[in-house]
Amino acid sequence: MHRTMFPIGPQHPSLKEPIFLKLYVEGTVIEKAEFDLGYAHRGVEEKMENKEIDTTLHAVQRTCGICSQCHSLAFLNAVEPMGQIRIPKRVALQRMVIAELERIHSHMLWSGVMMHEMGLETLFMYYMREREKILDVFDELTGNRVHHSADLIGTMKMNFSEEDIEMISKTFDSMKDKLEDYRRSVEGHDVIRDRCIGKGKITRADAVKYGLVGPVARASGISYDVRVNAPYLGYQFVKVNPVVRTEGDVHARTLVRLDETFESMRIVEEACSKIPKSKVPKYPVKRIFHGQGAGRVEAPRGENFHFVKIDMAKTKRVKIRTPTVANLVMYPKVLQGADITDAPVIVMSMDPCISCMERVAVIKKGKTEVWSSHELFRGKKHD
Amino acid sequence: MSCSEEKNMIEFIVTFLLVFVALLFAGFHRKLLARLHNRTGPPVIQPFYDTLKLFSKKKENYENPIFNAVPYVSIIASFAILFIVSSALVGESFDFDYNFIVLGYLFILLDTFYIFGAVASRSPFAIHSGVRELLLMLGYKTTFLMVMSLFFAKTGVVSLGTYSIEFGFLQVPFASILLVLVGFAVMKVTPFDVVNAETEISAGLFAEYYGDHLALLKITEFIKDLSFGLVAGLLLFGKIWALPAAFGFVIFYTLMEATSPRYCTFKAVKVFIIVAILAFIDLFLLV
Repeated sequence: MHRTMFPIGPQHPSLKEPIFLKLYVEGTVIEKAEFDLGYAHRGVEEKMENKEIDTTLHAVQRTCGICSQCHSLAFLNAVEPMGQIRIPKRVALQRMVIAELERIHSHMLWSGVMMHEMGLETLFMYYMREREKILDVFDELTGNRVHHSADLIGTMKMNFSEEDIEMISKTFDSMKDKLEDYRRSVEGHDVIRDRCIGKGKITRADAVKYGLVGPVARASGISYDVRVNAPYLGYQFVKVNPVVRTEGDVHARTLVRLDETFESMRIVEEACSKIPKSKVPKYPVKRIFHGQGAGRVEAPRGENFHFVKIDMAKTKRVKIRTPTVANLVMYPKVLQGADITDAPVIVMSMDPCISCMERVAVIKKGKTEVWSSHELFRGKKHD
Repeated sequence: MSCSEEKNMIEFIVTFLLVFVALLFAGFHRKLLARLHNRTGPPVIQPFYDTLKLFSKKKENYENPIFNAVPYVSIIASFAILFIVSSALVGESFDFDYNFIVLGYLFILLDTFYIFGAVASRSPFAIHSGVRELLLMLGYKTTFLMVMSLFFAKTGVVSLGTYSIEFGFLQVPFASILLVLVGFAVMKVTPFDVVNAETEISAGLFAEYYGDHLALLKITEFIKDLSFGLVAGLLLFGKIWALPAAFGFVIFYTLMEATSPRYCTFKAVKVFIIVAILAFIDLFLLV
């Protein structure tokens, strides 16, 4: 049979961000899949070099539009131990509340987009409507809907008041019934089950071999969650029950995310009830001049890792490894043998976030080049 | 002007008015779908704006003559369908014996033209969409022909114009259900819109068309949808109720589109093969 290349991207209705997926198909079956990156490279890491730490924090929060707080927390988890800064309980819990709210809105966005991939636009719009309520909560809490800019080194910009906590509670009350209805629809709808069950299957062994993270790994039976395995911030005060399934298919990944939404709501409610009366410390808490460290958090898509090196009170190097970097390598394997009809659903089930993942693209006459850390640091290669 | 000339003139005017109705129905479909989505949606006359804008785009011919010819032959075929339908409703100039068979073949021809255009465009999206359309056609087009034959065989009528039975669905209930099922594929609504699956194959059959060519194809689609609605309305509810029934079908299919995700291609094909077998059994029992 004749083999053709079926392009998905860089611009395609099923993609929200640019990535070029080359699907080599025979008939309608994908024989081989490749991907090209580099369409949304912004040079984020380079922008952070030789900047004041506060300025870097400002840039770090803008790495991703969905998980802004998670990037901020990973950076702070790397930086704050350098100055032996102890985070008060109030700050830890407040930061955690924003991070969990972010997880809720990220999963709701994903759920909506997943329904869009399957042609159920109504549920997509309904999910987006509910997600708007979380963005309104962000607006009330931090003054920003997308990039919250709530954190400072060692402290935060705001104290959550009683009214804020009540507002969060009321928002959850208005959402829970609807989200449960939507979940029932997704879990029980025959067509959705037909489109998802057994599709894009990732075995536990493959998930371990490829180093998958986040809901994708948890849907394949790996009970790994940074919030549980290496608790940070307020996760030391609140119990987290990781949602794990063993099926490893698109349906399992969908249900893991939907259930994590409810788990995050529970975590936020528990955290809000434990926020102490004290105020957050005044800024600046402490200056940091030298050091290097790493921080990791459980972002909505999985483990988010930051390496930070500081010299003369300026960031010399920030290396970001987003969860999509870990999960993207699975695409060629998981798409192989799938039907072309299922490709968008499988691609979206991994929840790729391309813009915050793109770091370095070296393309030179089709040859692969290896850059040393020194060259990466300088931003150019010597011939 | 003689009586028959007057009738012909009325038929001609009605046919062209139905083109505007087709665009209005398309606009209403989009508006209703948007309201169900909790969106404001475009104005009802948005298809008019879209079509005018497409006609105003720069004209540039693709080198493949089949690709260029398809929009023109499609619009001619769609007008032929509309003439037969409007003559069945208000006149008699296209009302000849067994015209429903010609109508069925015109519907098939229209989709075949689309497939030719898709293959000629050499776009992988369009070709995949064409393959899907071809697979679906095996099921729903044969069902459409058989269901129409069932209606006329059971009522003893020989042409659409002489079909004067009101609420025909009471006489032929099983074939009526099959006809409504066929409507999902003709109007390309979920769960059977695999040919237009935007997230899988982008713009599908029309992926490479733009400007006036795309405008003609869009008008063809609107006319085809309205014609199917009118034919189904005529067969199920009678001549007087044909237009309101067509409007009702728009509402029904929009509601279905808003509440159902898309089948994968082979599942959709399987469903229509089963539907075709059921129609064949019904026809066989009648014979």
